[in-house]
Amino acid sequence: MNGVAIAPDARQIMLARARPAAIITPMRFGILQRSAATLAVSAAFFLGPRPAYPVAYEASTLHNAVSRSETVRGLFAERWKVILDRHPYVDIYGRLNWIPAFKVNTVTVTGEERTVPMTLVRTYGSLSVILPVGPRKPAEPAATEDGLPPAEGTARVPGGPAAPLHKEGLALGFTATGFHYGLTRQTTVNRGNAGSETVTDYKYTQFFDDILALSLLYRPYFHVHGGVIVNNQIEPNDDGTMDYTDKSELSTRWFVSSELFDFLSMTATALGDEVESFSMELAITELAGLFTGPVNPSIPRFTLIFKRTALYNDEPFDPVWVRSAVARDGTSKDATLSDNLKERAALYTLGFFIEENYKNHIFFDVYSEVQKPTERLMAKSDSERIEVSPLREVRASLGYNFFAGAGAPLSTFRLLLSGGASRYWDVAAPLHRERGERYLLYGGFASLKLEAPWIGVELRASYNHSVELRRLVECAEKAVLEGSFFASI
Amino acid sequence: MLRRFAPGAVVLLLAGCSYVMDSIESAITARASFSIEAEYSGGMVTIRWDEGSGLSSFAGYEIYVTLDEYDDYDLLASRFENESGATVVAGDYKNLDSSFTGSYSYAPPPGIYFYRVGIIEWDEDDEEMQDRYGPFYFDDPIAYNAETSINKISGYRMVSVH
Repeated sequence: MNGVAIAPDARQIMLARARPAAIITPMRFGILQRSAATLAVSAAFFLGPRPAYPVAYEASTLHNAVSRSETVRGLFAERWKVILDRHPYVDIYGRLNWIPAFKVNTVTVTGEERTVPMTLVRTYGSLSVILPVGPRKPAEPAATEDGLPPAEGTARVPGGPAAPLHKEGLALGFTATGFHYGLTRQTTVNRGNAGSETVTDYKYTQFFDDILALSLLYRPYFHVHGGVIVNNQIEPNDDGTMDYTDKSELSTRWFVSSELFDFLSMTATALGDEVESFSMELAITELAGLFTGPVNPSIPRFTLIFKRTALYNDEPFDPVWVRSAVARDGTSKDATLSDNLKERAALYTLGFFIEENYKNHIFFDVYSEVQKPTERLMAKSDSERIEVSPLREVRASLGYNFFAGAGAPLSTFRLLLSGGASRYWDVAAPLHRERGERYLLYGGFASLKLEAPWIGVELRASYNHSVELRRLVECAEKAVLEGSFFASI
Repeated sequence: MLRRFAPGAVVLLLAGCSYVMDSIESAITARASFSIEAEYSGGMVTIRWDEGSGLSSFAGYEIYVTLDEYDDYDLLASRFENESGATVVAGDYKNLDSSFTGSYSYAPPPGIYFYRVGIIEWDEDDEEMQDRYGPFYFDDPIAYNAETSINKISGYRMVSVH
C-alpha cells in the first residue's frame, strides 16, 4: 500500500454512521440464541408442517447413542478386517468427511428465522498396535509382481500387495478408535489489503464416540476383541469455540466381538446389563472351504449377516413412536414422555453379501438386506402407522485396479477407481431429505484409492449412498465429500 | 512383554481417538480456538483477550467486525490499518503490533456488532523475509499484506450499542 488510503468498503460505510450511544448493552447472545432456536426447532418439529430443511437437527438420530455406537463399532470392524488381511504391527487410519451446505433452520439473535448453510463434519481415527506373542512361523512371501497371491488356494486375497508380517500365531492387540460428528459454520474473514481467509466455528452439540479395545488373536484360527465404547456429547461455547473437558453427557457401553476360523463372527454391544445389539456373520465360502479345502480366490465370497438392534425407544430424537402414538396411560406421547411409559422396539435385519476380487484387477460386490421391526412403528409427523419396507438396502459396487498386471515397481501399488449405486429405506428419511416425504432413497458413490505397500489415500464422493445413510441418515439428499489415509506398518 | 506393550497402549489412549481427529480437522479448517470479551462503555466498545501469541513469527493482532451473525467479517483495525481504512505507515496502530497487547477500543455507531480477534503470523521465517523485503520487513505494510496469515482466530462476541 505504501501509505495510500484504502478505498471505501462496507466497513467504512458502516462506520460512517458512527455516533457514540449513551446506553450500554453488552449482550451474551448464546443463551438467548440457543433457547430461541431450541424452542423454534421443537415447535416446528412437533407441531408444525414438515419443513423444507432439517430443523430437526437438534432432535435427530445424531443423538441416538445406540445408532452411533453401532457406527463406530462398524468402523472398528471394518478397519480390523484390513488389519487381519495386511498383518501389520501398527495400523493408523484417519478419515475426514464433510457434508457441505447442510442447511439448518435457526433463529438469529434478532429473532429472525433463517436457513443457514453449515457443514456437517465427521472425523474418524483409529490406531492399532498388534504384537506377536511367543514363537511364530515365518512370514509368507509377498505378492507376486502381477499382484496375484503367492500361491493358488489362499483362502483370502490380501487387502493389498504389502509384504505380510507374521501371519500366524498368538498376538495381542490394542486399538483406540474414535468418531466425531458435529456441525460447523464456515465464515470468511476479509483482512483488507492482506486478502481473505476462511475460519470455522463449532455449532450445536458435538458428538464424540470412542472405542478402546483389547484383542487376542490366534491367527488364523480365531480372534476376540473386547472393549468399551464411550459416547460423549459436548456443547460448544456461545462464541463457537469448544473445550473438550466440558463433558455434557457421557455414557459407556461394552462390546465383545469374535471371529472363528475366518467364517463365523459374532458381536454384541451392551449398555449396563442390556444387550443393545447383536450380530452374527457367517462366511459361507470360507465355511465350505473347511470341508473342501482352500477356496480358489476366483470364487466369490458369500456372507450372511444377521443383526438385532434395539433401535427405537420412544426417545425425543427417534423419528417414530413404538406401537402407538398414545402412551399406556392414555395420553399422547410427546417429547416429555416419562421413561416408564416409553416403549421399545428392535430391528431385525438379515443381509446377503457377495464380493469378488478378480485377480486383484476387478472388484465387485453386492449387498442386500431385509428388515423386520419387532413392533409397529408410528410416524411422529402424523401418528400414522408406517408400512415398513421388507427390503432395507440394496447396493452394488464395481472397482478397477489400474496397476494390476503392471510391472515392478507399480505392481506393489494399487490404484482403484470405484463406483456404485444403492437403494436405502429408513424411517428417518422424510425428516432429513430436502425434497419429498418418501422413506426410500436412491444414490451412488465414486471413489479413487491409491495404495502403496504401507500407506494409502482415498478420495470419495457420494450422494444418498446407503453406506453413508446407514451411518448417518442426516446425509439424505446431500453431497458427501471424504478423504482418508492410512499407514499400516 | 507388558513393558513393550504399555507404551504403545499409552500412545493409543492419547492419540487414536475422536478428539485427535477433530483437532486435525479443526487445524485444517481454522477453527475458532480462543474466546474474547467485548463490552460497550463510555461511548467505546472495548474488546479484550487473554490469548498470547506464543509465536516467534508473531506479526500482529487484527480486529474484525460484522453486522450480521452469519455474514462475512471485515477488517476493523490492524497495526497497518485504522478503522476508516487508512494505512498507518508506522505499523503500530493501537499497539496491535505488540504481542503484549490484550485489548482494543473504538467508538462505533449504534447497532449490533459481532467481533473477532485474529493472531497474525509471518508465513516465512525471519531469514527468508529479510532476503525478500530487507532487514526492516516487520515495518513494511507491503510485506505484511503479502506474507502474513491468520494463525489463530477467536470466537465471536456480540455487542449491542443503542
